[in-house]
Order: sequence, then C-alpha cells, then structure tokens
Amino acid sequence: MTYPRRLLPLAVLGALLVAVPLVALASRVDWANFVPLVTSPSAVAAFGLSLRTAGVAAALCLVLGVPLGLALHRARFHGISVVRAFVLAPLVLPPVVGGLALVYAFGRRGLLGGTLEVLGIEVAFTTAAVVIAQTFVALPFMVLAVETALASRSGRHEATAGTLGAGPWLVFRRVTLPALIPALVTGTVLAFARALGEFGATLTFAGSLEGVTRTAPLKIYLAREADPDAAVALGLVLVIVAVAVVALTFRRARQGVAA
Amino acid sequence: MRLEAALTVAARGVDVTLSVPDGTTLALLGPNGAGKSTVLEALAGMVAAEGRIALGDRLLLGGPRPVPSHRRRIGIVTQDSALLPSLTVRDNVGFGPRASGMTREASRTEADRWLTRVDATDLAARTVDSLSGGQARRVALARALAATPDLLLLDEPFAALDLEVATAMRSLVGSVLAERTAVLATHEVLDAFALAQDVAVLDSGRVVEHGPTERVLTRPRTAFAARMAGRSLLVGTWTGHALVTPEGDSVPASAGSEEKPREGEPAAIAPRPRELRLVSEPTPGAIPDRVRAVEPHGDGVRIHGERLATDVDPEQAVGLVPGARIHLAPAGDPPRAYAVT
Repeated sequence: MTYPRRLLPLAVLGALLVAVPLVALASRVDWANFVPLVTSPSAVAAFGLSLRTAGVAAALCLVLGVPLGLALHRARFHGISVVRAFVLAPLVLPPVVGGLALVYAFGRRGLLGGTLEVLGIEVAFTTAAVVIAQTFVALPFMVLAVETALASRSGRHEATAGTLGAGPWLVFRRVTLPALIPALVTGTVLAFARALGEFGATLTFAGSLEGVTRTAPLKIYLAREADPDAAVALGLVLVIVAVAVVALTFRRARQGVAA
Repeated sequence: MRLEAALTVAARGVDVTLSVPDGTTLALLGPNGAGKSTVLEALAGMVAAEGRIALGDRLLLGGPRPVPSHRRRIGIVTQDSALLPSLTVRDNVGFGPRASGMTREASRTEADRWLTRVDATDLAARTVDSLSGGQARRVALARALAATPDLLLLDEPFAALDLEVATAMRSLVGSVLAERTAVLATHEVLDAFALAQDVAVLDSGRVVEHGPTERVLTRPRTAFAARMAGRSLLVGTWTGHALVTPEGDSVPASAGSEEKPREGEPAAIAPRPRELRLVSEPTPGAIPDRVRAVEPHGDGVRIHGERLATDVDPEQAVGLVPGARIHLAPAGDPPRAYAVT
C-alpha cells in the first residue's frame, strides 16, 4: 500500500506528541542515583505491591473475563448491547468515578458493605480493594479480547466436535479454549498492564497506605513534590514496563494477523 | 439403524422427508445450493430444525426438546473436514473415543486402528495444517468412524479432490459404507449408482423424487431428476408402440420390462443425449424441438433443446443458434417407455 505524502507531517506530529514527553522524562533521570532510588525500601514495597496486585487482578480478569466474553458472544436477547455497554464502561469511565462507585458498592456504608461486614469481611482500604479496583478497570480489556477472537470463529469446529460426542463443557475445554489462547495472552498482558498503571480508582477506593495499598503509581504521585528524583526514576521503570508490554503484545497481534 | 426424517429449516428454505432403511446408503442428489449440506447438518444437530427425526427407536427431533448433537450418535464428514487445528491427526481421530470416556492412551490406540482403516497411518503424528485436502478428508472420515456413530453423513466426500485422490476415496468410502446406515450428499450420478441403494433428488430444498437408485435415475418422474441423471424426460400417453405427447408428437418406443407401460395410460421416456441424433428434416418418429443452449461437451457439442438434448460433432453444431428448429430421432434402438402415475 502506498502512503499519501501529505499525511506524513501529521503522523510525525502524533508520534512526537507521545515520544517527546517520554524522552523528557528520561532526560530528567538522576542516573547516578537511579539504582538506589528504585531499590529504596518504599520503592521496592510499592513495586512489589503493584506486581502482586496486578498479577492477581490479571488472573481474576482471565477467570471472569473468559466466561463473560463467551456469554456476551452467545447471548441472543434484546438489551444485550446495554449489558455489553455496562461491562465495557470502565474502558472510558474516569477511574476516579470508578473508585467512587466501588466505594458505594463495597465500602463500609456501601450497597454490599453491610453484608460483607456481617461476614467479617472488610474491603475498603485493604490490598483486596486495590485488586478489586484494578480488576474493575482491566476486565473490559479481557472481555474485548475474548469477544473479538470469538467473533472471528465460525463455530464449525465446535459444532463438529459436538457430533463426535463432546458435550458443551468438553467442547469449550478442548476446542474453544485452545483456539482462544493467543487472544488470552494478549488480553492478560493488557489487563496486567492496565492494572499496573491503575491510579484513580485505587486512590479513591483503597487509599494510599504504604505496603498495603500504595502501589507504584500512587508512590510516584506522592513523591513527585517531596522527592522528584525518585518519582522520575520510578516513572521511568513504569515507562519501560509499558513499552515492553505493548511491544510484546502487538508483535504477537501482527503475527496473528499475518498467520 | 433405520432413519426416518421429516424436517424443515425455514431460514434456508429446506423442507425434506427422507427415509433410510437399516444398513443402507441414501444418496442425497442435487446441484450446488440445493440444500444438501443443510439437510445433513440438521440431521447431525449442527443447525436448528423443526420436524421429526427418528433413528432406530430413538426420537432425536420432535420430542419434548431436540436431542443435542453430542447425544445423537450421528457422525458427519463435512466438505471442509473441520479438523481441530489444536490437535494432531491422531488426537483428532481419538477425539470421539476420548469424549466417550476412554483414557488418552486407549483413545490413541483406537485412533491408530481407524487411521489404519482409512489407510492413513503415516499421518498420525502430523499437524492438521500440513495435510492436503484429500488427506484431511480421509482423517475426517476416520474421526467420524472412530466415534462409532449409528448414522454416518458424508457431505460431497469427493468434491474438490484430484482425480486419483477422488478415485481412491471412492473405493474407501464404498468399503466403509457396506452394511452401514448412511446419507451421502453428492451432485454426481456416479456416486449415487456406485454407493447408494436409494436416492433422494433435492431441488431447491425439496425432495422431488425418492426411491431405489436404479429406478429414480433410469426412469425418472420429474424433469429435474432426469436432468440430474443426465437424461431428458418426455411424458405422454402410451399407445402400445409409441408415446404420444400432449403436443401431439408420436415417438416410437418399446415397452420396458420394468414398470411396463399400459395402453392409454401415462408413460414416459428418458433418453440420454447419446441415444438421440440430430436429423436434418422432419422424419416419421423424429421429435421437433428448438435449440435452447449449445455447450462444449467432451470432444463434441451438447445441444440442449427445450424438450430433449443430444450430442453432435462440432461441425454439425454450426448454425445451431438458440431458437433454431431441430429434429431429434433415436440413434439406435427405440427408447424404452415406462409407466408413470
């Protein structure tokens, strides 16, 4: 395909808009102290918490997102588009609004807070709250990945497997699931990355308690005035993670298209 | 196991009644787009249908709710083979045994047994992507058989295969179908004759004729079935030595031994193109016709008239434009007339 040359300036402008800030951030890194800065106890605590919570959130997205994506794909009733819109809303919802919504759902005085309290479960301002907030914002990525992958399938393999005596559960396990693996890898990586970067919903719903709810993005936000060097160093680590994740994921996606 | 089916797939304009006696094969004969695949998929439960399907003493459709495909015990080999790309050839064939509760080991032994049956043992370890169309068809057949179905459905098993591959596949399918209850969808008369005891001729989703293969394809009742059988159909009244058409043409014919025509009663002849020849002028017994279409056929030319068809040498076809008047007479023995009701 040829490229119309007059579009090139806009393309360059778009690329610069993204690239310049990232380069600017990198230019401010205090390289001499980079290693101590990113290995300080509070930084390590924040990164450790981020990795653990994002990992759990990504796993939750996998466990919940596959059945949900499958259900949205198979559902044939009026109003399914409304259900889908709600499920995917966190994609475009300001995270802080998501956090607020979570407070009113799981908070002590929230919709389910009373029930949870009776059960002796307190969610708000715990590590569990961080995971819930991250899952809330990351789940749509998995659902979309699953639905998109299913939409490109004819269902013939499933139907044929049925004639061989395989019931719906066996067909799902041995036919649909193996075919979804590339989509699940993409979905999991994207969900993990989205969870890792989660800030607004976490701050609103889980607070910022070191070692408990203060994930890396919260730590960076807190440090940006008191210790800008630390903020920049930690920020760069997240940039590297983000770029690596996207590079890996979309390399796969393009290969998938080519294959 | 005997199959009795009367089913409708409204969305695809299919409405058919079929019956297949235990241990026999029914050829579902029709051109592309007639609905053959839809009928097979409806039988297998791959597409939703209304009506009634009974296999042996089990009611698969028409009961309180349709029996799902995985409990129908109906195996199908589709044109696209639909092998599972995530599994090796061996595990594809072992899929049915495994679904029935066999261990992985036992299912692989079973798979190898069926791969031997279709002469494809060497493919066992291959991935599905690496198979040719003919190999995939063989593996799909082994896979369907390994699930030990009560009824086997084959959708155009020889379509889109090279000549040698198709010939080999024909003899394999022939040996597999012996003593088995099966439905074979095809657009080739050859398949119906070689492999099926009965034939159902399908025209735009309807069965226009259903009966013993030899009867339907040599003594058709409908112009459509005649065309599928490569014949023309001329219906009229039997006079004892000739067929008189409603147009008043008298065609000399002999009474066939099967379905002997009776004087004064409706009868028909269904000559093949090569049983007729073009005559230059009206002669007694020649049937007047008009050219509808001219088609290269083998090393000659097939003249499709409005009523009959014949094959001529290319030099004879000069000047035969659509609408031209022609006369067709029996090339050898007079055509055989048979009774129709």
